Amino acid sequence: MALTWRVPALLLLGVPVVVLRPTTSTAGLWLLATALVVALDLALAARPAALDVRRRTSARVRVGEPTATTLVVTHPGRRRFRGALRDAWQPSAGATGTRHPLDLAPGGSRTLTTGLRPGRRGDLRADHVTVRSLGPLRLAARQHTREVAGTVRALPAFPSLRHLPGRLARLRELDGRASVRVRGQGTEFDSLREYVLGDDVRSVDWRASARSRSVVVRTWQPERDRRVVLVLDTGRTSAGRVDDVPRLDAAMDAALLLATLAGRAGDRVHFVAGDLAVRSRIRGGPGQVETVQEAMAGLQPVLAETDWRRLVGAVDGLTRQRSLVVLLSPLEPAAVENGLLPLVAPLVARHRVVLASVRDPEIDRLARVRDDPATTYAAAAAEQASTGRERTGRLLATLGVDVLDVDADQLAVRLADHYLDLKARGQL
Amino acid sequence: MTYAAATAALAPDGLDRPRRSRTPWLLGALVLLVLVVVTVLGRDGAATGTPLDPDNPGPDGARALARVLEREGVEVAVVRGQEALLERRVGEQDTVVVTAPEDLVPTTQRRLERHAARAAALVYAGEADAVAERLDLDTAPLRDGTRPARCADPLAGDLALRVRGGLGLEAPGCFGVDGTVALTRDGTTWGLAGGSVLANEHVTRAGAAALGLRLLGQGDRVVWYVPDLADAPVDEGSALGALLPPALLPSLLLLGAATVALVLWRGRRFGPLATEPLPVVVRAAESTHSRGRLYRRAGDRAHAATALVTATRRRLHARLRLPTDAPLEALVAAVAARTGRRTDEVTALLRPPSPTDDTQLVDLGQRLHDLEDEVHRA
Repeated sequence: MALTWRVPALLLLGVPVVVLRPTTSTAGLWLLATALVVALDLALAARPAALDVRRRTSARVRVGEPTATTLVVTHPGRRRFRGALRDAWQPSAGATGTRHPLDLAPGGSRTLTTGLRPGRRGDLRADHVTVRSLGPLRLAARQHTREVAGTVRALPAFPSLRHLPGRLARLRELDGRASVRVRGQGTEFDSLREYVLGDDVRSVDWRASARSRSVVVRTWQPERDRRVVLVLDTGRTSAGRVDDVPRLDAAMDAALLLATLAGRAGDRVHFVAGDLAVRSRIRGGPGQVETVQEAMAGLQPVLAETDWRRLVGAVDGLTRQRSLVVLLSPLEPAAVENGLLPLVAPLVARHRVVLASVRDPEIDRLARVRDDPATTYAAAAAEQASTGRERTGRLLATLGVDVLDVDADQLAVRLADHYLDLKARGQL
Repeated sequence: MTYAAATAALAPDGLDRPRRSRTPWLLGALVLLVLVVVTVLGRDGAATGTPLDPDNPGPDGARALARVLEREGVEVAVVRGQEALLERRVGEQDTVVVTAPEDLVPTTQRRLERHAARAAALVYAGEADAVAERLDLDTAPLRDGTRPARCADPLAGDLALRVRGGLGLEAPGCFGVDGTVALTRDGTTWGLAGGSVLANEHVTRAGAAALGLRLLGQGDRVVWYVPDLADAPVDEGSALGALLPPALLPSLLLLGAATVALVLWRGRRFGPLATEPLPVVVRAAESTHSRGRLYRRAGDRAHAATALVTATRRRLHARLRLPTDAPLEALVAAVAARTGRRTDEVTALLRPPSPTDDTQLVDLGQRLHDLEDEVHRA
């Protein structure tokens, strides 16, 4: 039940009456009459629970972009329905215009649209739908709350998408410049074209030049159909917040840029994510980036130590060929040395391995300030942490892993550049 | 009904923001209007023309009676306030009249009764409940009608009084039915309920005039006492109720109910609060911060100094392009060459003695920082 402003107003109207007949019984009678009218109004209101509310599924959307959800409301009752409906979503779904006035004739139907702007990655769900049905006098309303299931899948924000055009330009420059290093015979020959300034003189095809009037160079087909395996660590170390963004989200951003770039370059992108267990495993193919994004939307950090054996096992299950394996995991000395390190050597033997880690600039800031005992001790702890990180990084590098320990906003670009470097050198 | 109207009816829930802010204003204006009405209507009783005042010439005053008494040779002395009454001597030929008994409180009444103990009569006339309170009686409804005295008292014996609807006194007396009367007597103390009998507008009626003259003309002199509430001791609050307009209490009841309804209207939520499943996200540098605090609490200066020196050495190695396994001597030499500092000074920094207090540690930290800066700039 809910009252409207009319009930207090009606009660106040009794004051002049009481002034005309100043006894307590007048006031009592007025109260009683008001209560009766309100009860009558409630009894005559349409039953809110009888209202039929259905939700149409809504499309997936990127974090921060607007979308909408639609409810179809049908009134099966015999009395006219007057009132309102509230479509409540979890706050991070950023629902706007959640309250809809309703006026339905018997058997009438309406379509209500609630705007959404997800503020967080993941499956954001509708909390409940509350219906209020006003009586004919609009003094009071009956209220009923129900679940009307609905989710909007918010894909990762992918802010590094703006770096994609620059990387694609670099990718095009690579085309035809470098030869593929494959074991065995030769390289993947593509075509001959005229020499232009800047071409590597080593690629001049002298035989063809002799037959032609101008100098002709050979071009090679760029490396294609290589395999990139993105391994996303969702364990406890990924839960850390670096400059208000969880490490996991920064790693996802980097993974998405690399996946998009590699997809354009004609490579296949496999994806593995997990902590104690493998949370997601995707085999590359057409539409691989969309699938990876979709999978990322549902991933959340888990407060448990990552079981690298399972993740590496999943990589082996995805591909037998030599691939670029990108481990997206923070370079935490304890976590890496206990979990990952023993598995690195066999992995490096089979694949090209890159560790992409989100660094915390806060550690550097801490290490620089040494004004008083408190900050100096903190600086010592920070130095200890970064020394440990560096040592672990060096250890991994010695084992043949390319370590990228970069600040969150730079990681995506650095990883993409590293991939292009490897591609340029034909080392995939 | 339009959608806008539906919105207005449910405005408390903020379906529509502009409407939401307007409704309380309307309500506020309504409340103000009601208060003004109550105040204006309530002012009647407090106006200068006090009912049954011997100097009030209005329809509800009693000046006519006072004048008639004077013409009949009865001296009428109006005393206002306690002090004036106590100054006035009251003898056996005096009748003391109180036509505003509601303005008496127990203390002033006691003083009055003591002062008028020897008077021929003490008459309380006025609203039935005030009179009843003074005489310690109960009230009961008394229907309209012209009533014969029907009592043995010679004063009222042959009169008939037009009783105007309202309350009467539950006591033996005159002009009543079923034990409820308009006039009662206890020794020399009289109580007249519905004092309007004495009012100017009714005094021309035969019964009323006669009763008034007989009642007040029992002695040679009338002391018309007009009590003043200011004489009441401050702690006797019963006077306050008499001051307030009768509509106040029921109005407050309705206002209270309206307030409750207001609270229910504004306080009712449109469905439960929507909840957010929050992920566990910690500041990544949190563990480093707490490790720093731990070092400090433990006073582990040696460890902290080692951490600082190791980090500086590591960065200097990289900066001066020395192999990571180069001995300290090589590093010291390179640093000295780059900065122009003495080697023993550099050695003291890069292989320092363990600091003995926090000041030394801070000093070491800053000097290492300066050294790195110098190498960087050189």
